[in-house]
Amino acid sequence: MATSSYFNNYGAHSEQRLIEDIIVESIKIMGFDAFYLPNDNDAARDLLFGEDPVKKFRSAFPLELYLSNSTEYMGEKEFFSKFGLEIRNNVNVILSKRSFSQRVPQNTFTRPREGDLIYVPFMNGTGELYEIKFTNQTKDFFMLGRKVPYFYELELEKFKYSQEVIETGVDIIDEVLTQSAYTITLKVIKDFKQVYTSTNWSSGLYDNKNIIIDPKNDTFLIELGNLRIGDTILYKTTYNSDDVSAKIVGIKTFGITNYNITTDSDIIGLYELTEFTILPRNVANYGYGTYEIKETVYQSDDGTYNNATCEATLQSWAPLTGEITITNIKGEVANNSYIYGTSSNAKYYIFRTNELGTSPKNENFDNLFIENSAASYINTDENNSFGTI
Amino acid sequence: MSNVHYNRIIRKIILGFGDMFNNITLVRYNLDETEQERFVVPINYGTKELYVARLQGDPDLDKKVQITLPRFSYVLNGISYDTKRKLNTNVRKFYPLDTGAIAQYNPVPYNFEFSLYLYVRNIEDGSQIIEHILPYFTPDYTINIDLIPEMGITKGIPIILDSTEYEVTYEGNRDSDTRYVIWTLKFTAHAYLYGMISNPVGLIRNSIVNIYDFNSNNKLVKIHSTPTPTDATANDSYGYTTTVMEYPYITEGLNIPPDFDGDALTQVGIDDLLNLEERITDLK
Repeated sequence: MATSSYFNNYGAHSEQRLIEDIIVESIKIMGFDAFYLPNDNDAARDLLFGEDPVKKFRSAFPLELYLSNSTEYMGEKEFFSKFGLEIRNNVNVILSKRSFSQRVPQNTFTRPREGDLIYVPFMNGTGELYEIKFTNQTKDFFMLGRKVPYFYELELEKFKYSQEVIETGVDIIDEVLTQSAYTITLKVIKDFKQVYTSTNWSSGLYDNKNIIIDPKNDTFLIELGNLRIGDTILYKTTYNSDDVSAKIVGIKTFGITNYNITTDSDIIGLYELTEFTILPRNVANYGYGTYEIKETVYQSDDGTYNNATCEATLQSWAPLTGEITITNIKGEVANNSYIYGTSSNAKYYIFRTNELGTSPKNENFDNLFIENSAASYINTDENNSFGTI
Repeated sequence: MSNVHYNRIIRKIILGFGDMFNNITLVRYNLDETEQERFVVPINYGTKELYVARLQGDPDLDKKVQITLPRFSYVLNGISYDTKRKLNTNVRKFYPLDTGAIAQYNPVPYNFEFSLYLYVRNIEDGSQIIEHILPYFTPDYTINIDLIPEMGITKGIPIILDSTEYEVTYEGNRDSDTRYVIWTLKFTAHAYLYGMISNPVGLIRNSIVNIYDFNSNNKLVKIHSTPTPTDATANDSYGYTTTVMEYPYITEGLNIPPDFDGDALTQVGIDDLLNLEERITDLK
């Protein structure tokens, strides 16, 4: 060996430990709390293109970090392009290796990985989500000969969100979905009246206050199933050609699909029913229960989750207006069908969806505007060929 | 050029172009090819004012992410006169109104050049979307637009796909930004621009047709048509009264069928008139 055997500056473990203690303490004193969000679906990585189209961030580990660039963001910052506003903020943060090892399961995530996320709650006032662009483990330049780093410097770029699943259970992080994810608003309440004529039933009679109907189609059957005592309906018979308004005082079912609806009508006699109108009602007529925010909701022909034709994450539920917003949608959302909550067991009947999506708060796009603006002069005799893949 | 008119055709064509791509759904798949999620790809027109982009993209200054992908953007790059589709500029098209008829000269053909940009995070996403779009362009795809509804003018506008470019920026040092994957599709829309619509002018309520024998230069038949009722407007329900006046020498030298009775046809309907014309043609 060419170095002096009387001096050992690169192998003193106690001094290395001291340095590490000081670094950890410094970060704890001068740093801030943040979260590390690993992608837990990297098994689905596309090895051909080298990318993860189906990333899932379903855990968030609290960590303390120290901001390296303390004066301003790096990067191009607010960048206006043809795609709208891009906030190209970059920052560098220091993360002690010891803290990372203590807080993050080492059997799966041995180091902060490029492509994983860091959530910084204080930045920009309400928090920012960053992607680890590069994990620099040589920033300490092997101080005192230590082979493993005392800390990592994480080079972060503000996250380009691409509809990944973010379900960490930390509300301020999961808020990204309500701010930026593709969102569909489902309309539960029906705010228009629905008129059914004799083509919708096999037999329809008015018999002394009782309306007896055998519906022919599922939509009408479901509508009848949603009727409640106290609802007001309109009906016409061969006796009265004008609408008669009546309140429902009793509902019975018999046979397989037959309904006997008792009303407070004062018309006596047996007549053939010619028209039956269901008036707009409140949300409670269309289902029951209270959805839980962030729960998985689904649609299914038989009501079971196993046979779900569509599932999504519920982001909001407004009982008064009857609006549900959902994100991370799998399958095609169907109109005129129930949507069930997996944990709340709530279910409501969906009348309308807006498949073009509702612009989330921080993501403006023109799909719906273009659709509505062009509708009046684009010839729609043919279907839009560019629809669903 | 002092008159005032605005047919909003450029706006319609821009919206019509965007309307083709505003409902494209991307489906993401797991490794076993089961569906993971689906969403409609956002689209916006590119050249917005910066302040509008900021107000729309980060209204409360609390945006947590850089941008949401994938997304489309499209821009009208320019328009140019298309000499190959030039029409006779002296020809006018008329359209009936209750108050008369309005008219408009033939349009001028213009090519609208568009660029459609697709910005994706994943190459796989871009591949799926592009693979969905391209087969529709052979190389054109035609959309029907009511360009001048006041004149009842609906045109099929062929949108021709001119080129497809693919740019992946992925090389660089560790300070480089994350990978950019941008597709650029260039299109040309073969559209028309229309001039002003004239004020309504009176309706033609009398039609007189004279038929001559070219050999003798003699007038054979005079056909006079008027609407019934005579004050009917174009959008009313109306018929025709047609008076046919024969001239004596119509029969000279011709082989007249025995059932041809010109006097009986002095008051006829339009079908009879057509029959008469056919029969005169046969006779000649």
